[in-house]
Amino acid sequence: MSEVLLRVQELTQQFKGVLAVDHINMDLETGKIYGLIGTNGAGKSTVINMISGNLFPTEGQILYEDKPITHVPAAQRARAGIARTFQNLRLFEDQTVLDNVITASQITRTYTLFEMLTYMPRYRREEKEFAARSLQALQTMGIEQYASYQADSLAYAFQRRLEIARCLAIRPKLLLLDEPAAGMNPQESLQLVEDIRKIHQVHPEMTILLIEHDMKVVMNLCEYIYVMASGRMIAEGTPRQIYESEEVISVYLGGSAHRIGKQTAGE
Amino acid sequence: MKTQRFTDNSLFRFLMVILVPLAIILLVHFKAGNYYESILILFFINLILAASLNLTNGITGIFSLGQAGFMALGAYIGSILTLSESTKDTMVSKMPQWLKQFQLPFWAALIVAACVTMIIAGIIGFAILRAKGHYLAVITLGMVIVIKSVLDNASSLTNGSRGISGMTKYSTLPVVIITALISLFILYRFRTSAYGRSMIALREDEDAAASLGINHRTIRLMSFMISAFFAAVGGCLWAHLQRTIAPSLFYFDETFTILEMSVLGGMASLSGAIPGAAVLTFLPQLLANFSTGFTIFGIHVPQINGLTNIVTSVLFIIMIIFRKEGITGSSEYLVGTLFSSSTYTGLFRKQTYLDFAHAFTRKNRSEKNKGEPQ
Ligand SMILES: Nc1ncnc2c1ncn2[C@@H]1O[C@H](COP(=O)(O)OP(=O)(O)OP(=O)(O)O)[C@@H](O)[C@H]1O
Ligand SMILES: [Mg+2]
Repeated sequence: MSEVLLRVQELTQQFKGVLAVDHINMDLETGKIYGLIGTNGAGKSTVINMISGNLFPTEGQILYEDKPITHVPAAQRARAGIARTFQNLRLFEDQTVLDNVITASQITRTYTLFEMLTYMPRYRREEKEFAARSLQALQTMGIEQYASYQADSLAYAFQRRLEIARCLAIRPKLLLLDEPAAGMNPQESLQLVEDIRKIHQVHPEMTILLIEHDMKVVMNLCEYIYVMASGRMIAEGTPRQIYESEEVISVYLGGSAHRIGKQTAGE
Repeated sequence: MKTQRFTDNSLFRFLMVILVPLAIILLVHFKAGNYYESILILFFINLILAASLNLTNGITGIFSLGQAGFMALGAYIGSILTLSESTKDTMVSKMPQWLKQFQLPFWAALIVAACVTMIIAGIIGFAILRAKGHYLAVITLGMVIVIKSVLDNASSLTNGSRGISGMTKYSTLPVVIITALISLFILYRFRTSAYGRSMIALREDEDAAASLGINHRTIRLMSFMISAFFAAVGGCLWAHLQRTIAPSLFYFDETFTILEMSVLGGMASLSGAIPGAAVLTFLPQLLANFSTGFTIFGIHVPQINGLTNIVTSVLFIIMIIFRKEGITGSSEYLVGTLFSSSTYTGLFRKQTYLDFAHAFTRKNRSEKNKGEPQ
């Protein structure tokens, strides 16, 4: 199980005037849950944007299943199995919850334009499949009873879950979660941790990269943790190692490791 | 918030969608006025045009102002294909011989005109769809100007600014009704399929759409081409209703008439094309009766020039201020009802009538879709 799914080499993002990500390296192995932590503005989201293809790096390269994908467009990466959520919710707000997820599960569409226009069996079968798979994804996230609601009428925590369900519907090999618990109360984020664990149990071959401010969540969930500060990767290791790392503690001022960056959660 | 008010009552919707237009049609035939008939024909043509614009502007979120240009192409190609050799010989004598001799039956000409326009739109779209928002709006408007000047100057094909005339009036009421229904049906199939969902996803959030594997180039181009296809259908029908066309007829006036229909009715749904086209087809005709001056409560109102433009513009502005999503918003109940089998099977169920009676006597607020979770 220890083959590398995603390899990030010397990845760099230079915005105008800001070196957001500075030559970082990461190796994500198949079937593990990884954490990516760091203070506000450390460059975490930028890393995810580059892995998902929403942003192209200025330097360095990304290997996915041993193939370079550094300049492959986002849509193609999604079809290869890279799914992501966004830090500030990006739902299709005036669509129903179910339609939001179907828009993702239709990634496996094979019916043609002609089959669609003429209502051929393959069209009908696949459309049914999309709906079924979407409902299943909603079920996994525990929001299937809201399937017919308009997406932006859901409570905030449910909208976050919907975004994850949307990712699950594309059956990803690599799931990138950008602060999925942001804006949730402690109870809700605890529930979310359980759900992510559940996802991991149901899909043991899925690799998850989780950005999170809440140290407790990360320590609980992740097998391996990367720590970023002002664009650089300052530490990596098992939760235990990170917990005890002096470098990490010193970056986080006075070392309240339990609450790394907690005060900045939200945004 | 945006729950569809009539979701639970297919009969009610049925009445709105089918029986009302049917009643109008019957009324027309009762009066047997040629005038009323041609207005109704115009309505169905406008319906196609507005619906085609809704696909790009409302559903895919690419704001195009080029519909009049594609309409012109459809009108010209269609007309050249249906005109007889002798007519073309006298009118456009410089036209290449093979094209003069080339004549197709109306339906074939309609489809060829639409397909050729779609291909042209594909080539244009490939070049311009990188642009977005206001830029694209301006570029497509520029395209209308370019198409007009090409039609003005390619006089060996188009007879220049004098235009061409003498087409047979193929656009009868049954023809336009059938074409409009088929067009709406095809557009509706798009709207409810994976393609339509991709278009909406692109409109709502391009990054999110990309992260779900939606290729924006392909989907945008597809939307643009299909839209052009139906604009050309509308144009071709229009040419065979008016029986005389000229480049100046497919210019800014037409561009904004179609846009007004689309926005007023509700850009984000195909259903919006129905009220949009209805208002902007029938209202001007109605107002025409008053524009020469009228008497109200004993006060004589003198002739008002451009009354139609004033009223439709004011209406447009009011709409933009108070309900900028248009009459139907993004809900698809009109077209949905038209093409849903339950509408027709529902006619034979007692419950439908009970529901209808219920809805009629009391504001039917459906509990099912209402209420916020938690
Ligand atoms: N599109 C952009 N253009 C310019 N600078 C940017 C852009 N996106 C991010 N930055 C900058 O890059 C740096 C890293 O931002 P990033 O969003 O990756 O941080 P983060 O670790 O996700 O922080 P947070 O905890 O606030 O989400 C920040 O200084 C930010 O201001
Ligand atoms: Mg971030």
